Amino acid sequence: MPERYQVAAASDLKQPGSRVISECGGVEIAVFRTQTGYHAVANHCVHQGGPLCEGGLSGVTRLDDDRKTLRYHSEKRAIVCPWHGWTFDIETGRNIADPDYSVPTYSVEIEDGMVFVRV
Amino acid sequence: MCFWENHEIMAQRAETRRSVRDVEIVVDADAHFQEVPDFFHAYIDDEYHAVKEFYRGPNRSLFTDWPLGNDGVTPSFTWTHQDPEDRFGFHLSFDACDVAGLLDEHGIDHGIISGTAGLFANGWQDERRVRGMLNGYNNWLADHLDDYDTLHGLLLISGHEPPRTAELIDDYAGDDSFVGVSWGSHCLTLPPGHPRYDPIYEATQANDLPLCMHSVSGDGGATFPHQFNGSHTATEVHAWNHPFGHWWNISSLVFGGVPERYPELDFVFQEAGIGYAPYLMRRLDHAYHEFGYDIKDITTPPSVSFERSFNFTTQPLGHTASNPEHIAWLIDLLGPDSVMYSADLPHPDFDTPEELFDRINRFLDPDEVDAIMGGNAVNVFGL
Repeated sequence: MPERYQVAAASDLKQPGSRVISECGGVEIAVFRTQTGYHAVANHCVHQGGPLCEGGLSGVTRLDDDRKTLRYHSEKRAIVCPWHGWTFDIETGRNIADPDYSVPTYSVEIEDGMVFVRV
Repeated sequence: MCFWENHEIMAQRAETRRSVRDVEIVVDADAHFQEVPDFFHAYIDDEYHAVKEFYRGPNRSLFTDWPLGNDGVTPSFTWTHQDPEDRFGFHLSFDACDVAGLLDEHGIDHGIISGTAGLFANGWQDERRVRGMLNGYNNWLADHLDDYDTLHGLLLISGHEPPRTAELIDDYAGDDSFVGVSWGSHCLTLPPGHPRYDPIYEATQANDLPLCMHSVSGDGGATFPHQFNGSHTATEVHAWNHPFGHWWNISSLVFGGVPERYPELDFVFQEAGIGYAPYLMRRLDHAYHEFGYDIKDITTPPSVSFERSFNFTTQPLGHTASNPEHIAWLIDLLGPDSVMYSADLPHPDFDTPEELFDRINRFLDPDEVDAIMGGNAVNVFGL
């Protein structure tokens, strides 16, 4: 059973787009609050080890399936590494451009007004 | 024993050196300040009074002085524009304090410092403004580096007026702040093998300085390799512009006989990585032997110039994850003595020392790894 770590009070993550970064069992983990809930991601880019979760939280530009319309999806669920711009979906951990690359994600629990991460 | 048979033995030897921290000295052979006129306009001599007054204006940027600008191409490195306090990117200025801090943060002992915007000077149409900018920037750089033992400057030049540039090199070469000459090597109206540039090579060699040719991208310009009509994105332009510019420049230098005429002059090609270089070397050798009737200015195969005179900095390493061993192969093809680690800090496509060290440590001799990570730069720049 993964160990549970308290990382913040839920009141610290009221606003969509807010985040906290904590050390949990020797691993730096960021917890993001979005429109859809809470998402925990390792603060370590698999490219060159940059502090991934210190970068901007962004929407994503994608080509529609018809390959004609370039559309901006404004839901901010893409974390952009501040070192080299590698970008990952904070819900799945998958790299936006190449899903062969991913960063670890963790389950988040809310209990008694506190935010916990299981590592 | 060939490289391929030998590398397992080397891997065993390398097991005792597991960290880049075990390397004797790490040198970023292509670090940058990001100069803005606010830094240096006060250093422009009165001889260039009008230029000085021009740059005294608020919010002046050398980038806005580019001849044709970047219109119509997507902006580059957009993730660096998301946070006004972001420490990397092109939207902020970086001086010695900033860059020294970044080098220290990444475990780099010394940085060889070029400018950023000034590297585009070849594309400026107005020679008078170029003279004033070079004067102010180089004066400022010399003064600014005095307090930093880990930062070593390159004297910024352009290709506009080679005899005048030679005088500039002679004037500044005695200043210990400068360990080489920096030439933004793109946007030349004639390629660098043309005899018009001989005064630059002569002065650089006479002052025992290496000549660093630094590719640039994203600028508009009238001449190859800067003509990018039809390339719609900054990503596309950035990808081909750097190595193709060096292809043209190196081919011109070699077949123009520059390394043979100036045998003591070391060249350092920056910002395009090393992947293109071994293929170019072999291709030029092939041309030398196949088109002998057309070879007028050189007496030895181009690979001799590569071995004796040319050095290449490693950034960008490219996407190394698929097979790290390939980086070691490239270095072996080019020659470990010709390769220098570079980070390119603070620019947002920088490589950490680990990104190179971790790839090559298992496959190259420890002495070669030490040389690549810093020893070659120490020798060439006389640190």
